[in-house]
Amino acid sequence: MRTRRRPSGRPVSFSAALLLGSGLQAAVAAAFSSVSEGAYRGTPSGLGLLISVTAGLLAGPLAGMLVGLVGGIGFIFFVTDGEVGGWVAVVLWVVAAGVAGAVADRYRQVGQDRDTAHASERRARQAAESESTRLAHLHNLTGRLANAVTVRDVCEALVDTAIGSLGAAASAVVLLSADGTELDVAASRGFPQELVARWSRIPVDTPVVLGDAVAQRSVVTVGSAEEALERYPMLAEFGDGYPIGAQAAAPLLAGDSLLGVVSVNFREGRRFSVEDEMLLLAIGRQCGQAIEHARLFEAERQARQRATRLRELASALAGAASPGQVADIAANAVVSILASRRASVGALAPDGRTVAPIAAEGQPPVGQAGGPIPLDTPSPTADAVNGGRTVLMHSPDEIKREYPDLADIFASEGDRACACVPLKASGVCIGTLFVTYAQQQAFGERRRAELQTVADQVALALERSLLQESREETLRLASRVERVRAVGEAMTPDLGVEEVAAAILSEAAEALGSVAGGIAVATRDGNRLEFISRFGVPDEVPSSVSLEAADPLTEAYRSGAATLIEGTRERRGTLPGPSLLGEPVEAMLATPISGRGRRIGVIGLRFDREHSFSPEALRFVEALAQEAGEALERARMFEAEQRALKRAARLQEVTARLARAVTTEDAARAILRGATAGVGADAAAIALARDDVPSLRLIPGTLARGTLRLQSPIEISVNDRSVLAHVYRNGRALWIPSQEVWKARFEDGWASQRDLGVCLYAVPIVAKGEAIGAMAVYFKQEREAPTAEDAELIRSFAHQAGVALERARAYEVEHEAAMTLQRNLMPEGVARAASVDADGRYLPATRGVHVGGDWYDILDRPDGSVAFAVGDIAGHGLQAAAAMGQVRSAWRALALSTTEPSAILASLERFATSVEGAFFSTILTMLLDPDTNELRYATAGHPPALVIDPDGSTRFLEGGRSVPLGLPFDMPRAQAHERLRPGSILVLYTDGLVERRDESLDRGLERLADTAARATGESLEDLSDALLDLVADERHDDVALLVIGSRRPSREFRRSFPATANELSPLRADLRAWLERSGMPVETVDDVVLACTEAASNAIEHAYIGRIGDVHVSAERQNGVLELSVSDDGRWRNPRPDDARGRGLELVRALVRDVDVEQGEAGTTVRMRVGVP
Amino acid sequence: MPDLATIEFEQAERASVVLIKGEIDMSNADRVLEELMARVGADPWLVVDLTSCSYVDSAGLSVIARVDARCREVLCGLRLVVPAESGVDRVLAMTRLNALLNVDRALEHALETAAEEDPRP
Repeated sequence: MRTRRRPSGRPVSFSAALLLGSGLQAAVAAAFSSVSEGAYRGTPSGLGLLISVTAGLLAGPLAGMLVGLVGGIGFIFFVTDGEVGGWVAVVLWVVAAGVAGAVADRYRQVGQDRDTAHASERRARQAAESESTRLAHLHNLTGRLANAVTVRDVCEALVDTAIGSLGAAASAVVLLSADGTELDVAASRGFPQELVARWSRIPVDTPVVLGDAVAQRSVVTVGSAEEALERYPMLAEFGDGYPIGAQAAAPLLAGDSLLGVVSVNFREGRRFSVEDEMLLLAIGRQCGQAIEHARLFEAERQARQRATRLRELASALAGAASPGQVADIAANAVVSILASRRASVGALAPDGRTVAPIAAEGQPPVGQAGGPIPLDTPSPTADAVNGGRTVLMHSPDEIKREYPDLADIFASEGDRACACVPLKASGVCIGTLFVTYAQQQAFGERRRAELQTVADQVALALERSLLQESREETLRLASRVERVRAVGEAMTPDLGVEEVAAAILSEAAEALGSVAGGIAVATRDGNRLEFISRFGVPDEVPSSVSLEAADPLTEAYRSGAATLIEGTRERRGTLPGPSLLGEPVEAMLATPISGRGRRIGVIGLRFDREHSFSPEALRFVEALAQEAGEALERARMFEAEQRALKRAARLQEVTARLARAVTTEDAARAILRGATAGVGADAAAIALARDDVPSLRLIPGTLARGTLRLQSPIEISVNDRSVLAHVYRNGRALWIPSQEVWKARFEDGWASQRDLGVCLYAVPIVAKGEAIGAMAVYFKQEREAPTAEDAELIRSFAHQAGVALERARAYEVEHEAAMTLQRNLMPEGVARAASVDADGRYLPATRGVHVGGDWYDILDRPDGSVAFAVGDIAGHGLQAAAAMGQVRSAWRALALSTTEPSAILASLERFATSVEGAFFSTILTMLLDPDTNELRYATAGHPPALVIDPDGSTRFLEGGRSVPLGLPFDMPRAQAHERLRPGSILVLYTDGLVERRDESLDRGLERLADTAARATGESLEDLSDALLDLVADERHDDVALLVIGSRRPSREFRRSFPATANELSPLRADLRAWLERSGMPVETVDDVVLACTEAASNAIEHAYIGRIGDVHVSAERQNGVLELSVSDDGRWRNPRPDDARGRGLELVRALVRDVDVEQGEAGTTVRMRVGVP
Repeated sequence: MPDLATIEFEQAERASVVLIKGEIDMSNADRVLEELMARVGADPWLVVDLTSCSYVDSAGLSVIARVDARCREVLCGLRLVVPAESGVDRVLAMTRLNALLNVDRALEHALETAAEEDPRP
């Protein structure tokens, strides 16, 4: 706006002068109109002249002239009335006014010109001054810019210059964001802090001066506060601190790109000259370039820094040991190297389904709560891993497009761009590197290359650390496996499997933290799994399970692969019911155990916390399973070895006995004995073909309590529908699995032999290529077909049988006569007596005729006592046999009538002298009272009888000795007596058993005693067999053997046994036998057995806690009363009221009315009395 | 060591059948209990055949009592097969357990009853 000034500086305006002058002239004219002459005309003309000249002086020549003219006209017409003098005056006025005006104008003009010149000079000087000031500021700026390194420096220099050079109140520099959407304050001065704080990251289109400058890319000025407020209403919001007045904003340009704006604010209004604007623009450009340089410099510096940090990262990663450390270092470094907002390193889970963040820098991991990221839901991480490539999200829009579900999370976190790089080692993805940025990213080549470099380094380091970890874990576990192996190797064959199993389970528990575990093996029938070792499981939980049951253990066994439960969620399908390893089941692992290629069991572990099984842990458990498998195999092999050894021993035994067997019956017996015991059968039968008729002689034998009892032979036709006949005819072995099959196919055989068992295995007996019979073994319980080894054993027996029977038959044929004689001379079968058990044997000498002078006999006397004797008639052959027969008959007669053995001998002596061949014969005769166990005996030159006491010790009865019979001396016959202990065994024999050519008799006796001592516990027949083994090879003399066991129960029953429950059944059996023999009624027997068992059960349970002790049972029958007592040496613990044992004593009292319990320091005794008939 | 008792299983209409042959005393009562308990609840009825059981004392009675209690808990019915005048029968009579338990004299009777009736709570 320009102020109005009068042209040429005239003090009065044209119109004003004209009016006033005219007015004055008119006034004068009027005043002087009536005046006509001389002097008075002089005054108005003078006035008129004055007025005109004045008007001319003041308002310019034209004004003066016009005024003069107007005045003149007035003068002429009113004052001079047209006189010439008047016109002269007017002309004079006009001319004078004009001249005066022109002169005045000129004068003024000169003055004005001078003023103007002065003013111009002054202005020029001022401009020159301000120009130099500006130049100085610009120079300053340039200098500062030259020193400015950072963008900040530049901006600050700019602000200072702006304020200084323009005299502004405040100035600010804002820079445009890289994406051109925001402005951010880079430097400011003169503005209140709060305001400056508000100006960070304002959108570019904010309606302020700066915005316009950006939009127009040119200087924008505002001259005053009113203009400012009018154009930019928003400024009002800035408050009082904001200097609202004139404002100018200039763009900062570098080349064509706009980098930002500088704003200059004044307190008052101001006129911005062109120079001002030019200055601002120049400053803007200069600074723009400086900023550009500074940025480049910074970028370079950052790049150098990044390179350095990359190197540092590499060396730091090299030092990182664990994956956690690697991730930490990586996340930290990444944020600074890549200038990102956040970074996190995640590792791929072993199951390949999730990625779990290991470490993060910046703040908790982006987007998710920090837990594992599932790979089946779309996310940058999932896509990076699944696709194997880097996922780049350049802007929030892209994020929204690709991952709409995550867009909000990203936005709320303030992340505008992100990158997810898969970490690959050896071509396999092992994790991810996730990076976010605060601003949109272009992800140029350089940036992508950087990302990849960092990612590669991190991947290498991570892989290395994971491998290291896994190796260490493997080593740790391997050392555990070593320990287990050491235990396995130290295992002794007969103890070890349970120990090894327990060792394995404890290593597993330590290594993996399981709270319970067990090792189970499949039962022989293959239907169940049974635990051989278990820990952490309460006793109520069953220790075996059917393989049909749904359980991880059975599943692992069936499928042959490990079964895992890694959390309760997974349990539902795999383990619907209670687990075999107890509860709670938060996690479980079951692995099958194999040995020599077949599955033999399973190992299971239970955890009380959710557990994720790493590959190392699984390998570890598999290694343990392998150890278990080997241990079990070894145990099994050992067992099998033992069984094979036993079988071989049996076979040898049978062979030896068969070699001794003379008669078919002996052979049959030996075979049957071997076959049943060898394969655990309960009965056996041998069928031999007869020569004359097409039939088979079948001899069955049953095995009961260790003794084989032959049954009466029966005849069957070779065409009978019987297994043995069939096998004899066909020559092939046969297995009959059940009575149903047996009956269906072989009805006749089944009918007569079905009591022998429910299943049987039969083989033919072949000798010299010809079938001579058949043999079968029977089992009382259903079972699987015999194993290959058992079948082999039976066949071997059959073969041996064939050989022996053939021999026996040949023998029989050849020596029929002798045998007939012998059979007549010997007691048949097993020596029998009512009140004692006896077993008698005769073995002829292996050379020569097979009859001799050795004999034995036994008979019951009317008074209940038993007489028995063994004798040796000197010589061999029929003559000796005949003499022996006579002596024996004589003895029988004498034994019946005489109670004193010495008397018997005396009488025999007399008899013997009359018998041919009885010279120098020896005899041992004994008399036993089974009730009192009193023994009387006398021996005439015969080897002493051997007593085997119930405790297994042996001694010879040396008393009652006198010379052999038939000597020409008459010596008194001595007699001895002795009270045997109940259950003693007497062994009478002839010298053929103990005499050997090159040996002393004593040695033979010793050997006899040793063999007898070792053979205790078996049946009398077994004892006889064992003794006869002594002379299994060559015999120069025949052997007679009589073994007597006291059968008649004494009035006393005594047993002592260790306090374990297993002893109860044998106790019952023995007691029952004793009671039955005592002739008690069945019901009383049952009651007493029950009562005794209850009392004994009590003692077993209560008497000895934590130590071992014995229970003593004794019973005595006297005067119609049976007194039974059960005692122990321990201290009973008080039975709990709901104890089953409490009920036991109740039961005792119900059974036996007279019961008393004596409890003392030294032990407890329960006494019961029962009346017996 | 041979087992003191053999335990066999059969499946019948609405009943699990357990046949115990041999003797039951303190030495094997636990095992018998285990085997029986494993079958409680599998069917509406549990039939325990003691026909071939030659010996039962308080240990065996305790097993029976506990199995009976468990059966009641799960609303399963328990039936014992005990021939008249046998040793087991005498023991049950002496302890008056025969009045509290369902005792049949032959397996067929027990199975018939099981097929037709429901266990009473």
